[in-house]
Amino acid sequence: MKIDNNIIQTIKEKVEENNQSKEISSILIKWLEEIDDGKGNTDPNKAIETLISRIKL
Amino acid sequence: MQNYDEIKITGWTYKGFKTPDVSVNIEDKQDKKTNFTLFQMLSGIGKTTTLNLLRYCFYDLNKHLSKSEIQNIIEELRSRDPNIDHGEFEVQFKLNSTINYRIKIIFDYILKEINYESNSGDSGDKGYFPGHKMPDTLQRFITPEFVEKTFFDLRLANKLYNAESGETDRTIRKLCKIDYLEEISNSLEKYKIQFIKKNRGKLRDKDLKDKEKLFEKYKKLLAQVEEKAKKFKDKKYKLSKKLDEIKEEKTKIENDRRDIQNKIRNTQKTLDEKNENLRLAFEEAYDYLKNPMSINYEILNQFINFKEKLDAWQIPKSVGESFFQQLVDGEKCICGHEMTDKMKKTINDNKIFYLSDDIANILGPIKTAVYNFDKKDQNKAKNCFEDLIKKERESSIAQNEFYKVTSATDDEKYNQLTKDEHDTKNELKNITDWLDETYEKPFTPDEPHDTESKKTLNKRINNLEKEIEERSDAVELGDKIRKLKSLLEEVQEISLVKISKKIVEDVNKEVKRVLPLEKIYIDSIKNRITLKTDEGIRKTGASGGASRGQMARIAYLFLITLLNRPNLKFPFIVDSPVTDLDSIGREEIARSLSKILECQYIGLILDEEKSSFAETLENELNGNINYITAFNKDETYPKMINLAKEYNVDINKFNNGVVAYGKDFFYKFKGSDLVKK
Repeated sequence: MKIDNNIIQTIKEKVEENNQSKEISSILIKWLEEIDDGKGNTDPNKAIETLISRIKL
Repeated sequence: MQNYDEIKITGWTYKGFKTPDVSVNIEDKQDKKTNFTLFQMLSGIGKTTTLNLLRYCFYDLNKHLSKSEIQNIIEELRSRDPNIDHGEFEVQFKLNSTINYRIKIIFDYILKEINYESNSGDSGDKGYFPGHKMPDTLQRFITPEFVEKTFFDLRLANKLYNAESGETDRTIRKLCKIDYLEEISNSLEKYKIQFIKKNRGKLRDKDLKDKEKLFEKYKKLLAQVEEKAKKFKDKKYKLSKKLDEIKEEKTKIENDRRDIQNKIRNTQKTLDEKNENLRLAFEEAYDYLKNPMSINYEILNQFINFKEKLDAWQIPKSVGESFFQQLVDGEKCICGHEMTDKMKKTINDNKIFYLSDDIANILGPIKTAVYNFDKKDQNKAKNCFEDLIKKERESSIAQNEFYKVTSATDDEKYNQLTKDEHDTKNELKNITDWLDETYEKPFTPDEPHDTESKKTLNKRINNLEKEIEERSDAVELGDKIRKLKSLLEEVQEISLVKISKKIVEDVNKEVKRVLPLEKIYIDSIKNRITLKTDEGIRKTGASGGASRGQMARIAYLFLITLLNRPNLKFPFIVDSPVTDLDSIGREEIARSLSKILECQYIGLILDEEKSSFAETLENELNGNINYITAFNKDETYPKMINLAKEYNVDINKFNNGVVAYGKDFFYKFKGSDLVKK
């Protein structure tokens, strides 16, 4: 299973446009792919904590 | 190794539904790239029932529908035989050509319940497990929305052209996985709630706890209201469609009536004319009847003879009296015999016939009539009576026609349609009123707690959210989560636009091939499909000038393009795949399907849909098609059974149905020939 490239590209673009860390897009893309695989390896809380720590207001 | 998951349906079995109780096997041609099946049934035998049962096997109805919705489905699909208390439908499919799955859906007609049993490949013959179990990797993708599109009823293609239903956006979000971003947003929200709960514990703030409860209550209410709005929008679309159909049918009856009124007027006029002609013919015949000479040669001859005798006697009235007096006074008669008393008495008795004015008045005209009678009149009389019979027949025909026309007014059906129209309008009005005046009502501070206004609920939720965040020391966290959610929302919207644009481009590339004579393109798929011509003139669905055929073809292309996007090869099943399409459209759709589709295709077709479609598929796929025909074993139509026997089909395999495989039988099976008794 694959996530549509348009979604992945848009995440990268929006993160960059908002001057946010590239790590944010990496986490989001990885999360999406795991949802898609149905594996659920990503610990949502850990991913969210990283996202919160990286996001700039 | 393939980088996609592929599901192929290998068969299904019906028992206790409107369909015949039969099993259908689909040959799995693993060595071929495509796998096409054409499943033929006559109208009313269960094509759409098959589509729906297949749909319901791929997701758990109990998780997605209310009890009353499930009951409606049971009533819709259950067997017509009231003695049958349950129905079972089992679909068999393969995952990645290896693992066999079986899902059984059981309809309990007594308890009005639906239950599932599943059997996955690794459980072998151990039997079924209760419940609905799909392959783990696919469970989450095979949603009702997904299945509704991949198992599609082309007759409902119009929904893709309806703005309110927002069908195109909803479909793209689901099928292109844009809605995964929504899932991440929900996780972020849950994280914040957990954080606040943790902090509340530290703060020991009872008021905060109440606010949270209220916050949760409003959120739950908002979710319910949004779900209700979604269902109402769907219902609004269906009711509008139903209303259009009712109006269309009523107009047809009204037009027929107008025709009937004209016909009545015309037939009345004809009837009057024919009756008048008949009356004149009777009059003419009566005139002839008054003159018996014109009817019969014998009578005519007798009259002529009579006149001739009178003429021969030549007894003028003025002299007649003295003539008879002299005759009786004489000793001898003019014939020379002795005049006896008896003869004298007879002459005196009979002379009155020759001498009285009255008799003379009668005999005179008779003599004149006999004299003037033209023998040709006899032919005219004959023609007159023949004409009378003809006129009588014409009058009778006109009378029958008049009766036929006047009895053709379909008042009962029209009245029922008027009642349905009234009920549907009321229902539609209630739904529209709720959507416009309640759901979309602007924020109003004094709305009741259980308001169904989306804006008021959102405002209250936002206010409470901020208050809770402030009181639980989660302001920064709340702001960051809102920032992330807003970013995800933007990504969703932009992705939707980009993916939609790509789909439009892909579909329009195909248009030139599929619609060679009447080029029409997708203008936009925002919420719904809008079309445009080569010159850029917009066509917004049927009301905007696009034909049903054009809309169907574009809808087909849209779905095929969309379904080819995910790396999941899921069967594409289409009910009535070429309905409303002319021969050119059918051929081009068949070509597109054969070239574009990489997944399994099952077309549930009527016998009349074969024309131009099946032959083209056959040519394009070099015969790589499973041909299946299923029908009821109906003794009133022996020709079907005889045809099956002729093609060596096992007609005794199932009690009340027959399934025939193969191209020859498939093409030979023509309802109009076979249902004649």
